Amino acid sequence: MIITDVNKNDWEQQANNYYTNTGNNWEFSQMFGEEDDASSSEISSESSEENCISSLTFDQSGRFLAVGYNCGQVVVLTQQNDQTYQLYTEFKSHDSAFDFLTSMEIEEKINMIKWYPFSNDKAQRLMTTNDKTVKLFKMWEHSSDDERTDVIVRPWKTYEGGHVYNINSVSFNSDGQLFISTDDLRINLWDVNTSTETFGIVDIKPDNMDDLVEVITCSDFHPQHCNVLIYATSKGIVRMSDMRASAKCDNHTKEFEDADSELGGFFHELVSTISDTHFSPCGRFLVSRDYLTMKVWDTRMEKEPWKVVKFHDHLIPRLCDLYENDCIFDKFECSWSGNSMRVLTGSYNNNFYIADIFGDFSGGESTSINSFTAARPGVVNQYDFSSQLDCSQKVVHTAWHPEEDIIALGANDFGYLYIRNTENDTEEMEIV
Amino acid sequence: MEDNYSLVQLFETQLRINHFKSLEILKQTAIDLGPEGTRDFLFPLFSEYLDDEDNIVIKFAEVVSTLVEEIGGSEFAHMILEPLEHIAKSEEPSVRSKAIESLHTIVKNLSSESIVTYYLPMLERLSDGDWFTSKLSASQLYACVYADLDENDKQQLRENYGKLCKDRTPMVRKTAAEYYPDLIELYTMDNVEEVQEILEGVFSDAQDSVRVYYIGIAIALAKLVNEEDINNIIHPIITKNGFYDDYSWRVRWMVANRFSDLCSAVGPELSNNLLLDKYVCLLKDNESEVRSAAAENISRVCELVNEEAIVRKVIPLLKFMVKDDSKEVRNSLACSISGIPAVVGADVTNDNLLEIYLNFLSDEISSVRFHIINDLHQITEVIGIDKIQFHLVEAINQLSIDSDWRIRQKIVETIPLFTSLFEVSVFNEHLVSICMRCLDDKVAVIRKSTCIVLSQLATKFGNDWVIECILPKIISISKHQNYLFRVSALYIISSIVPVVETDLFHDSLFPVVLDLVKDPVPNIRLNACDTLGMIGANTDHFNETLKELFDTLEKDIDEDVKYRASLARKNIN
Repeated sequence: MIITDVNKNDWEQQANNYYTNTGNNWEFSQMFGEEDDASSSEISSESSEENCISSLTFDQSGRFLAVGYNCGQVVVLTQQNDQTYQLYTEFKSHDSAFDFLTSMEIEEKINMIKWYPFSNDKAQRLMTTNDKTVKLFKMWEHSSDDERTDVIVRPWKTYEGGHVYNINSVSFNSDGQLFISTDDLRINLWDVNTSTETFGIVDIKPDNMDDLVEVITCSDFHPQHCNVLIYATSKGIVRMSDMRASAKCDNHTKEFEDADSELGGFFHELVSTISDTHFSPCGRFLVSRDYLTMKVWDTRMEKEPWKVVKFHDHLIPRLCDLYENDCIFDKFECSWSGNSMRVLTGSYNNNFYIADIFGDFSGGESTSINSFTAARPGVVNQYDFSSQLDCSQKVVHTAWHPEEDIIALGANDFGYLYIRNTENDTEEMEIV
Repeated sequence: MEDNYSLVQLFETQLRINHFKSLEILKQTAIDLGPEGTRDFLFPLFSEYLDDEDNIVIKFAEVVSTLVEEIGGSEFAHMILEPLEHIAKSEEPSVRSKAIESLHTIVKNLSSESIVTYYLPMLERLSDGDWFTSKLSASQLYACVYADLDENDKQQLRENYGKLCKDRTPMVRKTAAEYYPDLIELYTMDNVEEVQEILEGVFSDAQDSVRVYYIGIAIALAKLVNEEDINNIIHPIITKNGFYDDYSWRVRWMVANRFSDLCSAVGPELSNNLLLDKYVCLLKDNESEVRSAAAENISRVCELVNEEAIVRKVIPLLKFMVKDDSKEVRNSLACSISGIPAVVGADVTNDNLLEIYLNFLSDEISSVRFHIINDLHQITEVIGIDKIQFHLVEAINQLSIDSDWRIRQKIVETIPLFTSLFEVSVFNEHLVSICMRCLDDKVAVIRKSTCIVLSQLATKFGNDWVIECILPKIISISKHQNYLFRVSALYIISSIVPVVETDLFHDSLFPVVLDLVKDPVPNIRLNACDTLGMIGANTDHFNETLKELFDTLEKDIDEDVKYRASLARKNIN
C-alpha cells in the first residue's frame, strides 16, 4: 500500500505554527431556511420535521453548497463575491415510495449528497441518495434566446435495486469512474456509467442474523489513492480496505480501534458507535466522530489514535436521560478544513466545536478547541450546560468549504454559514 | 422547386409532431429532394435533433451516417461531420459510441482534402474540449484517418494523442490508453521512442483504471517492432519490475487475460525463456479472478511454447488447479484445457493429463463437467476413447439428471456429437437410454430438444436403428396419460419422417399418428395436423388417406385445429 510519508513531529510543528498565526474565531455570516422563521412557532412539528436539513455538502471548488432535506428536496446555493451564498436552484430529488415486499415506506429523506469530482464552469453533477436509491443529477446553466439564464437540473442516472438495507453514505473514487454506496451491512461498488450492475465488495452480514453484532455506519474513499477506502462500524472500529489486494474487500488491511475506552458499562457500546468518518483532504489522516469524542488517526498507525478530542464529557452524567429521550442515538457529522488543520463538529444547544485537531488534548481543559453557538447575532440564547441541555436544538450536519474558511451548519430546519475572523491573523500560512 | 417546398413542409410537420417518427422518413425525404435540396433545406433541420433524448440522438446519428450519397457524395460528405461532432460530446456513453461509429462510416467517404480541411480541425476541437467527454470520443477518432495523412499532419496527430495520454483527468488518460493500440498499429519504426515514452507514463500512472491498459500498449509495441529489435526494445519492457505483479489485482487480471497475445507478439524465444515462468506465477496468483483469467488462456499459451516446457512447468501445476477452491477457476480451466493434448501429444496426455480430465469429469460443479464433455473430441482425437469411456458415460449420465434444467438441455444436445466417438453398440447401451429418460423430463424445452436429437441420430444410424431403439418408446409415449407427453410422440415423428423408409412408416408410425388424430385433446389434434403436413410434404404415398383426414379435421369443433388442418393442406399442395 502506498501512503505518503510524513514525519509526525514536523506535521505537528507546522500545525502549531498555523494555529498560532490564525485565530480560531468564527462569526455569523448568514442564515437560510428563513422563510419558516416568521411562523416558526405556529408550524406543527410534523411540517417542521419535513423541512429539517438532512445533508450539507460543498462542491470541490466551494462555489456551490448543496442542502438536502427530509422532504426529499435539494437546494443548491452559490457563492457570491462577498462570500455569502444565494439560492441557485432547487429540485425534488427523491419521492417517497412503498416497498411492497416489506410493507414499509421508503422515506424521501436525503441521506447524503456528494458532488462529482470533475466538472467545468458550465455544468456540475451531484449525487444524492435516500435509503434505497442513489441518483446522479446534472445541473447546468441554460441561456435562452432572450438573454435570460436558467438553471436546469435533470436526473441523469438512477442506481436502484442495489441495497436491501438502508443506505447511509456514498463516495466517489478519485478515478472519476467508480463510486461506492454503503448500507448497514454491505458496500457496493458501481461504475458511474452503468446503473444496471453493481459489485458487492464488502459484506459483513453473518450467515445467521441472530449473530449480528455490528453494522456499518459510514464509509469514504481516499481522496487521492483510487484503491483505498475506509468504513466505520457501530462497534467504534474504522476499517481500511485496499481494493487492489483482492476482489472482495472483506479482509480489511488495517483496523483502527481505540481499545483504551474509559467508559465501561451499559452505555459503552452505544456511545462508541461511530457516526461519521472522513479521510483528511491531504489523505494522511482520518477522523472518526463518536458520541463523546473525535479521534484523529494517523493512517499508518493502527494501535492507537494520534489525538482524542473530548468535548462532550459534560454529557456523561446525563447519559441516562439521553438514552430515555433517544438522543444518545443522534448521529453527528464532522468535517475537515480544506488544509487538513481543523475539524468541525456539531452538538446540542445549537453549539458547534472547531478543534485545532493537532493541538494538545492531553490535559483536562484544552485550549485547542473552541465552541460556538449557531444562531443569528442578537438571538443567541445562552444556555448553561450544567443546568439546561436542550437536545431538540442540535447541529447535526456540517460542511467546510474546501478552500476557504467558511463553514455550513445544519440545525433542524435552519442552515447557518459562519466565517472565520481573520483580523488577528499574523501571516499567510500555506500548508504543504 | 414547388415539389421541394412541399416535401420539406411535410417533413417539418412530421418533425414537429414526433422526432422519432420523422427520422424514419428522413432518408426517403433526402432521396426525393435530391442533393441540392437536401443540403439547402434538410440539413439546417438537423440541429433540431441534437439536444433531444438519448434514444432519438442515437437513431439520428445512425440515419445521418447513411446520407453520404443523398447529400451529394464525397464532395459534400464533410457537412455531416458537424452534427456528429456535437453528438460526440454527449455525456451518455451509448450516444458517444454511436457518434463514433457514424464518424467512422463518414470518414471512409471523405476525400483527403476534406479530411485535412474539415475532419482534422474537428478532431482538434474535440481533443481540446473543456468537458472531458469530448476527449473520450476524440481518442477513438485518430486511428481511422492516420494512415493516409502526410508526415506533418501525422506528427501533429501523434503529438495531440500524446497530450490526451497525459491529460490531468483520469478518465481521459484511461480511454486514451485503451485505444492507443489501434493507433500504434499504423505507426512505423520511427515512432517507437514516442510509444515507449507513453507506455512508461501509463505504466506508472497512479490510477489503477489507467494502468490496466499498459499491457495492451506493450503488445501493440511488440507487434510494431522488427524481429531483430525485439530483444533490445521489448525485452527491457517486459522484464520491468512490476510488469506481471502489479499491486492491483485488476491490472494483473488484464495481463493474464492478454497473455497469449503477448506471447504471440514477442515470439517463441522470449515466450519460452521468459514469459512461461511469469504465466505460471499468474496461474498461482492469490486472487482467484486472476487465476481464472490466466486459466482461460491456457490452450492458446501452450500452443506458443515448447512442449517440453509445458510438461515441466505447466502440467504439474494443473494437478493442483484441478482442486482449486474457487469454482470459477476450475470452470475457466475446464473450458480451455481440452486444447492441450493436441500440443503435447498422446503420451504426455495419457501419462499426465488423463487423470486431470477424469477429475474434472467428477467435479462437483456441473458446468465444469459439462465443459470437458463438450470439448471431448479434442481429447479423443489424440488419445482415443477407451480410457476415458467409462467415466465419460458416467458423467453424461449424471448431468442428464442434474437439477439445473439448462445443464440437462445442454448435455442432451451434445449427444449427437458422440455418434462418431462411440460404437453403435456402446451408444445404444448407454446413451440412448439417456435420451429416452429425457423424453420424460418435466421441462418441455428438454423434451423438444430430445426430439430433435433423436432425429439427428436416426439420420446417422438409419432405419433399423429406429425400429430397434426408438420405436417402442414412441408407441408407449403416444399412449401416455398426460397429453404433454403424447405430443412428444408427434414431434419425433415429424422430425424423423424425412429419414425413415416408407414401409417402416406405413407399418409402425403412421398408425400412431392416426390414433392421435382422434385424440380428445385439441392440442394433440392440432399438432397431428402439422405432422400430417410434414408427412405429405415428404412423400406422396399417403395422399389418399391424408385427403380424408384433412376433410375430417377441417370440420373439427376446435377453431385452431380447423385452421391448422387447412394450412397443412395448403402447404402440401
